[in-house]
Amino acid sequence: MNLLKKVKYRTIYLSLGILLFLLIILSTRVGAVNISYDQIFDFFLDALGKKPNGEINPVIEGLFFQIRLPRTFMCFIVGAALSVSGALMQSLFRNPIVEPGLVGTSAGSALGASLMFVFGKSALFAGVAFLGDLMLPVSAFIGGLIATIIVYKFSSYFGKVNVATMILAGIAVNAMAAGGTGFLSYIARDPQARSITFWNLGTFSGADWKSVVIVSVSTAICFSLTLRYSKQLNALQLGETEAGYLGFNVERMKIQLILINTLMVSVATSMVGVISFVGLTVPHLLRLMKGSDNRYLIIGSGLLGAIVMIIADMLARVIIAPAEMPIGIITAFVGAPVFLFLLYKNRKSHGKGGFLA
Amino acid sequence: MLKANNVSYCIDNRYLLKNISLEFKPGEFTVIMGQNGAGKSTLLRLLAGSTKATEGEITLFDKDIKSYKEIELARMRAVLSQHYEISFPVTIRDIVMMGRYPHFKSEPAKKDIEIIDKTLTLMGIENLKERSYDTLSGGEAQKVQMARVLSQIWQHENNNDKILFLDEPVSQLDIQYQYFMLQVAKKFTKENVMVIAVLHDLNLALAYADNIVFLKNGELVSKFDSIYDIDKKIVNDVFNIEMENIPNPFSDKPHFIVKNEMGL
Repeated sequence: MNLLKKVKYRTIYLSLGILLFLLIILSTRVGAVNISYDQIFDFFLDALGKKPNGEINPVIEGLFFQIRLPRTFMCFIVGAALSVSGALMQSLFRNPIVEPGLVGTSAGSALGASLMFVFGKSALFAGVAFLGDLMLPVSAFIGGLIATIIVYKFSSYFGKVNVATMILAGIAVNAMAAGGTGFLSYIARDPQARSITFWNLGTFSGADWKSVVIVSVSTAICFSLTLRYSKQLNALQLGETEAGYLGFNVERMKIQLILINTLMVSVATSMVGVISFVGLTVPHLLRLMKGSDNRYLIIGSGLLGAIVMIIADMLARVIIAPAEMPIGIITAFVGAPVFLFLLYKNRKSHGKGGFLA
Repeated sequence: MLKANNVSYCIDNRYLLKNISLEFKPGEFTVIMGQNGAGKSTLLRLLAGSTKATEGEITLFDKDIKSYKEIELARMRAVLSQHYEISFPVTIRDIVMMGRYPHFKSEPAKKDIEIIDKTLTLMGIENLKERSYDTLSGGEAQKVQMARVLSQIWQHENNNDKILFLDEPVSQLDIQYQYFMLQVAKKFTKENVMVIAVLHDLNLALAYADNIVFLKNGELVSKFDSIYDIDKKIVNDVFNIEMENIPNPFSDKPHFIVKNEMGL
């Protein structure tokens, strides 16, 4: 049941792109303070050194450029990163229910990040202090990589991934990482602790331009690398041996993809915390729309993931305004039912490989 | 030309294959047979270059098969296995196009599209092109995979450097499909493609093979110049069951039936 079977890929990308652009503008407007289109237009005129049409409120202008805009871009990039990662991992594990939150990548990254958060300034890490602002993402990467490798090693043998083992190993690694993060939040001094706990459900409230740049660079690199693997990922759906017969070095490809994927997820996680279910849901929406070609899934996930995340963040800001809730609550409410739906669907196609592939 | 020179495959101090020497020629249909665990699939994987022999050497056009890159091998040989599980809704067209992956970089050329259309027609499944793989029956699915591997080795003329490996390709198919699949493979030997197949059904093998290689406990039992030399003594020994050669009403090829009492 592909709803847009006849529609060209390019048309889908273009429509998603336009929708994304409109949402970016909308997202910078709404929040505790609403900003009008006229004001936004004036802010840009002012920033470009031209004379604005109306009166400029410097506080709102600052809010727009220093808080709203980086936050929207952060949602864009992180949504894209997590969704592309979901598409990639689902193809790599040959299973529709995989996502970075499930196999421990996110939780491992969060543990790595919070370790650096709490001890980063202590003598323990004096040796790596030269990394500066990159200390946090690097440490998140190491945490995420360890978690992913543990789950992958436990659940795959002879080129097949056993889903039951994978989910259980994922639970164990997630629990271990969450325990570690929890422990750190107890021994941390108070302001640190508060931000660690907030992290567990993800938040975009801390987004600034510096972190946007870091996440953008890592995501852009990973995204373009991932795109080069779309043929390999398609071939992998036949099985690892078969992908080898088609001329691909499967072992090398798996290692490279796990590294790319972990980099993408961990850098995003180190900035905004653990946001589950986006990476699971977005590729499935795309499959329902058109199909399972990995090139389409990767590009589509980049666009649709950004869209979904921006909408979720707007909801997080609006529902209990002027306060805001962690975005993870919203993605869980939407994503978990999708997860259950997939389990139900897979239960029916059990014999056809869907679930145990 | 594909040659195995004294090839052995040893894992955990156990020989799965021992001292195998064989030679395969273009345009020849060779079937590898033997009991379960005799080493048939291992031999096929060694010949296809996906597993490396622990002793001895396999040469393809007088060059060690290990010296070929994966992509070079992929342009020369294709392998059809027993069955495939695919977790996502992929269209038949996309699956068959995978056979052309070794031949194009990011977008298929016009030639690639023509080739997959030809193989789909050859397999009689052009009407399934837009269907999703998970909606197919077992027989249809295997036809799709056959179309894929044929697309991989398809060449307009001069096919003599192509090899088609079939690893128990028909074990899950009904009789009509079994014969159909091997008929298609046979057709390709006429265009000088080398076909090497692992099969379980002796009479099916006799119907299509130019030659049958029997394996027992990882060792070569015997090799014949022609399938007409195969007698009941050899097959009884290889399969460890009593069989009798009976007249074949359709051809002069040997035909074997199994004696029905196994002393149980």
